[in-house]
Amino acid sequence: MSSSSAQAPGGLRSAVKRKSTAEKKAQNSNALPLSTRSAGAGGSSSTMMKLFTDEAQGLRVDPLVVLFLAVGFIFSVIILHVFAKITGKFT
Amino acid sequence: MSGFRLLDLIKFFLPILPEVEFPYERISFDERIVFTVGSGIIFLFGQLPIYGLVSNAQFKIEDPFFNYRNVFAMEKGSLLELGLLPAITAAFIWQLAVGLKLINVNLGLVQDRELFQSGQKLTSFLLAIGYAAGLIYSGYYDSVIQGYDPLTDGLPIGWYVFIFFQIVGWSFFTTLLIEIFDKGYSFGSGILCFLTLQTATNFVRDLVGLEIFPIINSNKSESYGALFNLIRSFSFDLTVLKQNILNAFTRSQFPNLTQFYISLLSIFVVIGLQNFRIEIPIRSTKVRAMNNVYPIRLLYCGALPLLFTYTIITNIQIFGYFLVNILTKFNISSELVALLGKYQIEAFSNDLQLKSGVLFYLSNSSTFISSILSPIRSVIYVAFVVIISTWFAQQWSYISGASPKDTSKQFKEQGISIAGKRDVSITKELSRVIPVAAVSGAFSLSVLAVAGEILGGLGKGVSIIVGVCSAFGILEEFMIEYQQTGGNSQFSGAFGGL
Amino acid sequence: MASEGLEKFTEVPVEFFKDGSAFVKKCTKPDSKEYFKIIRAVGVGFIMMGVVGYAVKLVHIPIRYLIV
Repeated sequence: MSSSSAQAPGGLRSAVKRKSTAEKKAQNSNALPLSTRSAGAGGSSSTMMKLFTDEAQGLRVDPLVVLFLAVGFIFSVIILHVFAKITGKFT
Repeated sequence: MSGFRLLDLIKFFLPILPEVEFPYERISFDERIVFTVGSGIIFLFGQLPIYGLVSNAQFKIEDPFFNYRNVFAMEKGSLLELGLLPAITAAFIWQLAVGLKLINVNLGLVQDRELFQSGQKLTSFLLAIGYAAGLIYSGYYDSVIQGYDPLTDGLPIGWYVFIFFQIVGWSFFTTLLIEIFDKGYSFGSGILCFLTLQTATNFVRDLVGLEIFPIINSNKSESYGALFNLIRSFSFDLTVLKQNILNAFTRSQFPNLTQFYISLLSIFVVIGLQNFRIEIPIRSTKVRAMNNVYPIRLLYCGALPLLFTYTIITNIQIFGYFLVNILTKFNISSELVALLGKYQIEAFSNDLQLKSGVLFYLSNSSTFISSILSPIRSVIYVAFVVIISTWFAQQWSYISGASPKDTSKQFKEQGISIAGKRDVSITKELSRVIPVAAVSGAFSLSVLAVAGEILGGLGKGVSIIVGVCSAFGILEEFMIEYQQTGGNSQFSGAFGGL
Repeated sequence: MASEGLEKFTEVPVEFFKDGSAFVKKCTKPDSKEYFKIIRAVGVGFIMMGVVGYAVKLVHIPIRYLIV
């Protein structure tokens, strides 16, 4: 119960808004938060280990692109295998 | 906040670190299912054999990490050679470092949070590079590279480069897949979801795996699945049957039935433990008549303490293995190296068993008999696992964002208070329960895990425990999401049929 | 917090066991009916996941034969 309902889906829809409220919340508490979750930004809960719950700068990629690239990587390895097999047969 | 901070170093890497876009709209229930299943399948496809190795390399590699593979989804001789280890290690390093205030980060600031997150990703990448380079340098692949004879040929640099890029590349993609999960495109946390998937797959595969592989150092072959092999080799001759049954429980190249029963028993106990809870009566401060209970589980930290402990042990073993090999290459006297660890190959499984040294005392035994034969090691190993897990649970219950303080804050936001207590004393009440729950939960879980290990579970018991605990968490998130979406999902019809 | 926790840990393991056992005694435990219901639910989920995962793995077999 405690872990999942805390994120409160619905309500503020856009990520930008949610982020700004999170910031406001963080400013209110004077103590340094010990985890991203207690800073109000998701992150690991007591039972869930999460690494990447914030938006950071960097090379933006769409999740679908990641999936396709991963499949592409797999295929390139398969193709390497196939090439090795074919050339192995003929030489 | 002046002065130099470790965190600022990460800024230099920001422009080249790939970053999965944050979902700007709420991802629908159906999309989340598609993303979860899709990335799960892609993750499993990572078990493709590495290009450049001989066929059936997974049985020919001399493997020093056979005890820990199951816990981290590390598949021998495949692209998933490193499994989830880099990501998990990076996550624990950063989250503990911040939680214990070892590094100077203000997570209240968005900037710092971004750097913190990129730091985890960068560490995961760097660790992957480090592990891969270490493995290759240590000669881990030397015996299985195509057309290479370590005794006569020079260093196969070309193959090394190929292998390196395959392992590291796939590790990068695994990290990005985890990010897709964690950013809210799928259910649960990426790491735990993949671990559960891997554990469940292996559980089924160990039992009924259909693949037939040749047994090393002999001309026979056996099926991968323990039960399937027993059925396949069924005979009416009693002596043969007896021998086959004995073999099914003791074989070491493939999974055996002993491991299966240990896993099964662990599942039953974990499910029982998972439902131990203290129910704190709560009432709403807004609606008069609303009374309810807020359960605090015995396993407050889930399986994370156990995962953390095994992350430590595995890292010690891996870096120990590297060190042993590096020292040997530099012609340090073998007595000194033996103090650190001495490996001996086991003919039936090609596993490199530790025989002495510091590393030996931090490793588990592969059978019950060997754990009895070396009692000192067993005791040290058990103590190490139990103490580290309980220590971690104690810390984690404060730093994970579900500490008594955080929970009471959450109570206040939702207008809940504990029945018969004033608002102020909620934190006090919770901090009487939560740390105790976390610590005793981690203690019982680690005892369970270690018991399985002593009996010869080879990490299967541990991975099953982690898998089942994570499955609970994921299922919970899934059900909440499902109830909130109500009936308007394409998949709900399919689930209704179950 | 770290040192404090560690101190507590090394100094009073007895108290830890007392607290723990008291906690476990106080716990609401699942009765056998609830327990079997959960086992069935989790078991079905787990096995289903495993079968799907293994099905994906089975695809590897022909691929392995083809390419290696």
